[in-house]
Amino acid sequence: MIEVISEVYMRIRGIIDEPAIMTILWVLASLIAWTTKVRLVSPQEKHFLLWLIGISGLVLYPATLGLSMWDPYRYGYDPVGLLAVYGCIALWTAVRGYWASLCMLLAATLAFAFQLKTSINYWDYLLDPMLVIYSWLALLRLGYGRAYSGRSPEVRARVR
Amino acid sequence: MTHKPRYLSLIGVVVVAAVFGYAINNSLPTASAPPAFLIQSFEKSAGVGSYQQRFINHKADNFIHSPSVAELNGGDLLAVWFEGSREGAADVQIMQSRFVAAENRWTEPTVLINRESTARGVGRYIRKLGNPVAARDANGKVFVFFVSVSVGGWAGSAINWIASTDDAKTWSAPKRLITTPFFNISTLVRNPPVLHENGVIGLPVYHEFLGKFPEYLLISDAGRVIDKIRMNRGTESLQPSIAPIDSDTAMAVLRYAGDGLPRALGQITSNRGAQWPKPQALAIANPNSSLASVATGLVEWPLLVVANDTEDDRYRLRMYVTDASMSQWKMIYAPDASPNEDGKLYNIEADPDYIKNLMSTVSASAMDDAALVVKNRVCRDGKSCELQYEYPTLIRVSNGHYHLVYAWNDMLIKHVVFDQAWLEKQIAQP
Repeated sequence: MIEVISEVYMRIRGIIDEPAIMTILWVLASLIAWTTKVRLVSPQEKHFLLWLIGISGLVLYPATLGLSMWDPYRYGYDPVGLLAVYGCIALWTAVRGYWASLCMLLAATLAFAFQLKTSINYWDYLLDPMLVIYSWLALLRLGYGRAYSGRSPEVRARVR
Repeated sequence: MTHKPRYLSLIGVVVVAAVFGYAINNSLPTASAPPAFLIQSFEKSAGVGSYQQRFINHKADNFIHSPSVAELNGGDLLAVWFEGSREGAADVQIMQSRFVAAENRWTEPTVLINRESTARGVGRYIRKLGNPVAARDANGKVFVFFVSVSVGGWAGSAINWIASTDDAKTWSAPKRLITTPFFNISTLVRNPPVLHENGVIGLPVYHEFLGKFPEYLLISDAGRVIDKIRMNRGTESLQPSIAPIDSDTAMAVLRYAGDGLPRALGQITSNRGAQWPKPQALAIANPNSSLASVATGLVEWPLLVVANDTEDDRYRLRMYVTDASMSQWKMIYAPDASPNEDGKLYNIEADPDYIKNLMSTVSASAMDDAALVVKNRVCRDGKSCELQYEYPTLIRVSNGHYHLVYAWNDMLIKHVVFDQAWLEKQIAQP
């Protein structure tokens, strides 16, 4: 049994590598909400997080995969500027009272400071492709839902 | 607006300031440009003009590829390559052999790394192994970087490493380099690293997922990536081979993987690898194959390059020297070449023992069995032979000698050693 679990774990890790700290906390928050019905993230805060992760991913992934000579992943190795940006965002979440977002940013940054992952790149503590793709899909769904619900009954009927 | 007690926000602001301030303070020491290149010093004697060749392995049963070589203590060498039933097969292993200088021979090859040992070390499923690269850092620590794939083809590659602090006798468990934020996939290694000051290793790598382009990794002596510099973008440049010329300048030659005129690419950094200009097409042809380069220490011809200088196949491997701007090229020798200059299949009907005789010029010991295997695999119907000499690695060691290893018909590893006097004599020839 242990061997099977170990094999499954190795295969999953072979595909997803090391998840970001923010991903782990997001999954934890979702599990808590699912099992206890206690919502740690309000709908408003969830929108904020989706936009934060979605835009961050849009800045990072296309360029780092070779779209340009500019490679934003590099800023994660010498991340003073990046820490300043996400520090400001964290301050805003504190003022705004987005505690889950604040905890995620603080945990990711502390984990980076203590280099708890194999990588020493700050981006790898904040984001991973699974979290970013989830955010993009969720934002698309939200956008579609809004556009759809804002239409007149005639238009909605036509779309239907 | 969410209404929360103001004191909670105040506590939040203080915690944010503390955590981010701590992180910024901790990250400051790594903020720097690449340190100066370490320029190797060599023994003064230029040698006696010697050129020798031999095979490292003597059994031709498997597919072997991508050999690499590194200097060890006392004139010994470490050669590594991958070997299996075919490229990308699950049974591919990283093999090693040691050149014992005192006995002037290569030891029998043994397995250095396999899929299982890699999986155990990096804690991930490993589907296949690929290119290994051996190197020794300034403190004598020996590294082997190697490619592995967990999912998909070579685009799903990641780089791993093992290290030895006792001159390649025992090795650490494999560890993973984190090189990209996208599932850490699609970074491959092929050519040896160059050394910077402060123990920093500069590893030329390449990306092969949505594009094909080279990158330069700066790695700490603890084996962590501390910076990554893009050398190019696009879909046509791979496998950079970098040779430092002085503490600030390095020349790179690259494999051309595009659809245009097949010419090797070159670029020169003048700020320790911090920036690389767009690669330029060079005067030598390149059939989408790996090149090797090393600095010669000569003012007029500072770079020695070994390459398949053909447009469509790898039937010929030649040595060139080039000037500091990579505009003048001079062919000085061909370590191996098919007798058919046009690269067409070489017909050995008139000389059925061609392969055996060719191998006997390289190996002091009889390799009749291996010669038969090579002939059977290389020559269609036992007569039309498709010869391939590829994936060279070239280094220069402390005594000033150059060591070249390359895949000989993807079955054997050929090792060529020559000294500075031989090189200069070849250059002097018209």
